[in-house]
Amino acid sequence: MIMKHFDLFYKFVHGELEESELWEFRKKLSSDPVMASEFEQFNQIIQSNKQVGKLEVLDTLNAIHQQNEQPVLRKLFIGYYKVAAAAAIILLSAAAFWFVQSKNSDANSQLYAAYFTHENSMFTVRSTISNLEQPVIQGIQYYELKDYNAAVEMFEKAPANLLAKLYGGLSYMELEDFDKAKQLFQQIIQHNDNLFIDQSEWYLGLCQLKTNNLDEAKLIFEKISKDNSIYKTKAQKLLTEM
Amino acid sequence: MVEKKSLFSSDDIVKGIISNDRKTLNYVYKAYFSKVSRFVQECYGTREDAWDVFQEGILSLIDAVNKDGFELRQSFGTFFVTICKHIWLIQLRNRGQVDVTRLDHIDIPQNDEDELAVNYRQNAQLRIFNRHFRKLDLECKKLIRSTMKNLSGKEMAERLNISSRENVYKKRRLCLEKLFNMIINDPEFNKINDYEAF
Repeated sequence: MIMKHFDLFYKFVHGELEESELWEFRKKLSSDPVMASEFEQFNQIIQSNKQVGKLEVLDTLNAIHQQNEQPVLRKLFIGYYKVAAAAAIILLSAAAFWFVQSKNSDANSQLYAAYFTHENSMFTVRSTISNLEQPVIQGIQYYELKDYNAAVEMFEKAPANLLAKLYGGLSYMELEDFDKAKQLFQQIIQHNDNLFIDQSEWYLGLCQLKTNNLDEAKLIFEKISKDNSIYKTKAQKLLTEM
Repeated sequence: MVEKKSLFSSDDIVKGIISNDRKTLNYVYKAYFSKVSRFVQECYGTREDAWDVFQEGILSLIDAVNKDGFELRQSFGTFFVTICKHIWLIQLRNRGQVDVTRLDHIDIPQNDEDELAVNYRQNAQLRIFNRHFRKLDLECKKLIRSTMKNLSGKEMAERLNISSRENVYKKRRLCLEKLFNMIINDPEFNKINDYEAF
């Protein structure tokens, strides 16, 4: 079911109807009960949208509820980072194995799909968890729940936090907004004194690959291949496929 | 880790809710959601129903408090849980699946209707609006919220990094249309027109 007269209602409430259209609109509204009922629904929703204060309270409540409905995740998050790290390593290894076995095509997007795997957050936050800002913790929880829109919304509330930038970038990759992802990874790399440079370089390279900037992608993967990066082997393999 | 018991007065709680204070809302959630949930589940509902009721309870409380001359004559907890119980009974009646006379044995203190002065239907609509709003992508959320905050098209274009004012309007219209269609397809929204104060 769709709101058939949405355009008309929208123009009406925004004062975009010409005088003759306005007259026609009112006439139709008084003679067409279906349209009138639809217009009532439209107005009810419009009224909801105006209650900013209440909607903000609902946002806060939902964030609290979501946080409390995930006790297992929270326990894992705080206490079992080693298990999570091992799981992440196994996942990465499996991805690499899959890559070696697969018959790769030249298509950049296929290469990207082969190398881009969901980064397990717990693998990275082990050394910083106790100092995290609340929006970052919530953002990572949303990220783990694969609610990437909600995640980036949280990360934007901590614009100076490097972990927020990293997972913001990863969330944007999941949302396929590669330009925003690139910006965040570049900011981490430019900061030049943090734990997340290896990951940022790797994912920036993947973003460049996916957006067909092959020269930039190659430069990044070549740098990773020469450095002592945790992605060195993967970058070397990827370069042979490009 | 054992959490320290928070010591909020009823007035503190009411002020905290009105000002969207996370610490207060967190306290209210921890202290009362389980009670509301238990009641709802004992009366033919689910935990999800209880969460809907809890949200509407908070919205109703805001309505009541915003009324001129509001005075809390009982403890916050008693007042709030009673509101939630009323809301659940209204919802049950509205669903028409349960004979609410079978719930007559349940002891629900009557709140003074003047004291409450809430619009249950409007709050239920607001909760449903929020449910679908949360499903929108980030840009749509920002566009719609910016409209609520009366930002001009130019301001929205600058803040949201959208190329032109025309594109802002075009995107906003599409976002709203998407949201409206999600809401009108929600079966609960269509039932809510019969929603009345209990």
